Amino acid sequence: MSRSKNDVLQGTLTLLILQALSRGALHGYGITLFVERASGDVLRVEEGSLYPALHRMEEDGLVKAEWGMTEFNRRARFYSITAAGSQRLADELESWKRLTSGVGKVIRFA
Amino acid sequence: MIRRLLETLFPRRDNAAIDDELEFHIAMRAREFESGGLTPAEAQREARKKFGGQSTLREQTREAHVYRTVETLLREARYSFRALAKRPALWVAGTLTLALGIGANLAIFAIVDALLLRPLPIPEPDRFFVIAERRNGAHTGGNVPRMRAYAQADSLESIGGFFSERVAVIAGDGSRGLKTLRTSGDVLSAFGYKLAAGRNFTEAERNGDGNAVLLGHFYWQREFAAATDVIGKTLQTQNGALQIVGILPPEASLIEDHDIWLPSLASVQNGPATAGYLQVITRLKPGINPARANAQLGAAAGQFPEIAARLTPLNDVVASEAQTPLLLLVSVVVTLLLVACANLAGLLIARNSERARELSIRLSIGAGRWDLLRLLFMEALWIAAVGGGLGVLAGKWVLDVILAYRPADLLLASTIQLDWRAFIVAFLLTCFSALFAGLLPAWQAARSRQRTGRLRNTLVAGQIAVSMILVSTAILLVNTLLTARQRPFGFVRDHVVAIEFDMPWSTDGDKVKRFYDSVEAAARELPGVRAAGIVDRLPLQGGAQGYTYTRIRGVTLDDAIARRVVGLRAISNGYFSTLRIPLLRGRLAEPPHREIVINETFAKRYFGAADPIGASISFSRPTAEPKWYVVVGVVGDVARSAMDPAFPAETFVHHSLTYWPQGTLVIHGEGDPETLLRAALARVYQVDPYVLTKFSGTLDAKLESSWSEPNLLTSLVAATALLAMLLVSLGVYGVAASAVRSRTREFGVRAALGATPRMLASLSLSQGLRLATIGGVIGLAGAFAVPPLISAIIPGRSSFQAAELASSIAAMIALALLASIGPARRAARVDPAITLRHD
Repeated sequence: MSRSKNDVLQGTLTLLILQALSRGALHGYGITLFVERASGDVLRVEEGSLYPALHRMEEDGLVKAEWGMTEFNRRARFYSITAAGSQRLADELESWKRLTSGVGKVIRFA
Repeated sequence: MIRRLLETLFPRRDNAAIDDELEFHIAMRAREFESGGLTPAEAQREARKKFGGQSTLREQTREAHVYRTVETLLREARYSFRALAKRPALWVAGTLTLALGIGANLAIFAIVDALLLRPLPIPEPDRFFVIAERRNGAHTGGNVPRMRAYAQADSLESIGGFFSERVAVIAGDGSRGLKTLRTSGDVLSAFGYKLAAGRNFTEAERNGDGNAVLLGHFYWQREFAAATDVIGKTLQTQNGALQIVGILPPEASLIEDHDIWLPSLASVQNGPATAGYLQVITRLKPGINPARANAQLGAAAGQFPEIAARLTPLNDVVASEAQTPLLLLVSVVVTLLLVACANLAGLLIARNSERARELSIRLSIGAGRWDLLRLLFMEALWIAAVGGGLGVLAGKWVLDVILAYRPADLLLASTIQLDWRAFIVAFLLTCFSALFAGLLPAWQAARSRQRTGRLRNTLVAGQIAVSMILVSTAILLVNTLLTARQRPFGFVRDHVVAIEFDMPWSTDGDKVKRFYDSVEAAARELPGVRAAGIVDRLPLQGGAQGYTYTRIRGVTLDDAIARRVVGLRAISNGYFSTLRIPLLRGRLAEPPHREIVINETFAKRYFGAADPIGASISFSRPTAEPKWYVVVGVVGDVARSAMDPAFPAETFVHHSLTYWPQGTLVIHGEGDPETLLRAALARVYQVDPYVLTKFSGTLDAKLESSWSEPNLLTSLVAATALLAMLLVSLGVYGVAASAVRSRTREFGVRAALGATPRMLASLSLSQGLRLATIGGVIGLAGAFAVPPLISAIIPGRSSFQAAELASSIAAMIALALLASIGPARRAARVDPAITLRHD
């Protein structure tokens, strides 16, 4: 596989996961698919960081997990967003917007 | 909820679950690659490669849990410790409350464990049994001829019998009594002890020949400084020189400590097969079913009329005495712990509601409900842990106090201790307390932070209910004890001294009679003495000797009445005048003749309205030729035991017509009893310098010991009830105080609208009153479970008296009012102006 896809920036993973889950419960593989497709294959999520991040977020109460069946009738762990997670998503989006607008200003200024 | 909580507190995310999750992801990736044109095998490999080392990933995923959790727990533990450290009142009240509850439970557990639960401190206790013998259904001691018959059973490996007495050892200028185990058969092997040194008794020695003696471990350590060369040395006793042949191991002193073991004299061992002085024990052969041994024993017992024999575990023997009082104590201390936990829960609820603002900030900045729960629970855990630690110390102290006042004849007493089993119990109790006292308030605070008042009120009402049961039990016991002490006993005890002799059971009968006559005569000559007499056993000291078959010449008695137990006291005539027991009819017996004196109860039972004087009665066995006594007099009834209000039917014969070497000299004299006692003892030692005395002192002091067991039990229950009341008053105070705090504004408005301070105070008082009434009524219902327990300990008490219940309720209500007075005064002083500014 080519390395042309950008690995997700450190620190934005939480934001992306929460955003992915804000539309409904997904399993880990579904999250990677969502991020890849929604970004037009620009971004991809490294499996090596996805699962530790998911479990950490579960500990923090941002997401909750449940075993369920996929459309292919396989057992998978589905993650969904909690109230605290939604709150966090709003905060992260806010700061992301500030960051990007800041960066945008700098770029335009240059 | 519990599962989730446990998972949060003790993370145990197993690898399999994480693997499952990752496996799914790999499978999906592989499917993706496969649709991209790879073969299934290549797709698998490629998908796995993308994951890198699966085990590394698994570890990272896992660590996300463990590190987070451990780190969080440590941080929260530190945080809650610091938060608690700023609340010394909560610390002190919480930990001390729990320490008391846990300590009391530990002490009682140690006793229950040693007496009822733990295996006996003897080798292979499963094979060790007491042979319990019954005559016509009533307990009876054994004797050597019967023991030898049981020994024929081939399922027994060894059998032995023993009784305790004291043997006087002559040392220097006087004699000292050694607590002696008089053995028949092979007691050492039946217990299964291995001697620390020397040899067991030989067959001939066991039967009473020779002069061999075994030393008890502690006696050997004390008197011989644990010297190893004592074997072969001699011990001088009043019966001659004894040769030391062996030293017993320390465990032989655990069930009951004896200074020396000495075979019974042949003359005692060869006594009649109807006597009952021996405790018979046995060890079964390995692998023998006790049922088989029981069948053989039953057959062997069959050759003796009216006798039945049965194997009984020693624990059961101890339990038959101790079980009911211990059950009562266990219920009492568990109740105390519940009250203590409820109190701690109340304290924590109050604490949490004061932190409502902090908690809501935590919630709003993203803390989960479970985080809050954990944080709040952590405080309870700290308090429980420290309380449990202090509880062990408290338990040690309580146990020491109880043991100091224990009944003197308690078996296994030296094995009562706080050991690792007690520590496990302490740990469990601590966990229980933390869960009970911590979870409820934490759960509630994390959940809603509403209605804390209702939960607290429920807790306090529950406390009152439970304490009410304790208090009513204590009042019942105290009342019973006081009533028992004030009822008529049938004799007068003031200005009487008693000297209880302890002559060996092998003492010659004529010698005993001469000794009694001499000391009685000597006592009468002392200045100021009004009367002196001999009795085999004092009143209130339980049953003495007795008969189980009564005949009246010329009258056919109903068999059931004939077989009722009749007490026998061996006396000299001076006994009646010394204790001022009235002669109601006839005269006292004149010794050489076979004359007998009966008491009122006996006269009523066997003669009814007829005149018993001149009748002939006999107590010989039904199969034997009757030996008649002539009734010459009737005396007043005397109580037999301290707590049993019933008067037993009793008969009195002169001591020279029977044999009882452990009699008591009683003397009624004017002046200082101590002076009289010293003079009397001097005369006694003139008669026999080596005689041993079990007791010498005032009759009052002697009889006081009859109450030691009910006294101990009553004091323990009463002390627990007082503690519970203290805790309840703290609980009520807490509720009332926080209610006044939270209703300050309301009170202010009321005051502004014209409510008088008195009205405000009564508003506050009425809450305590309501709780006490609700709790009291619930407690009243619970109290009805108590009397059956009590009646098993105290004969004749089967229900509460109305006054006892009424005073318990009154006590709880008074307590609740008292505890609410402080807060009520604060409510009364609420100033409407300040209230308007109150936050």
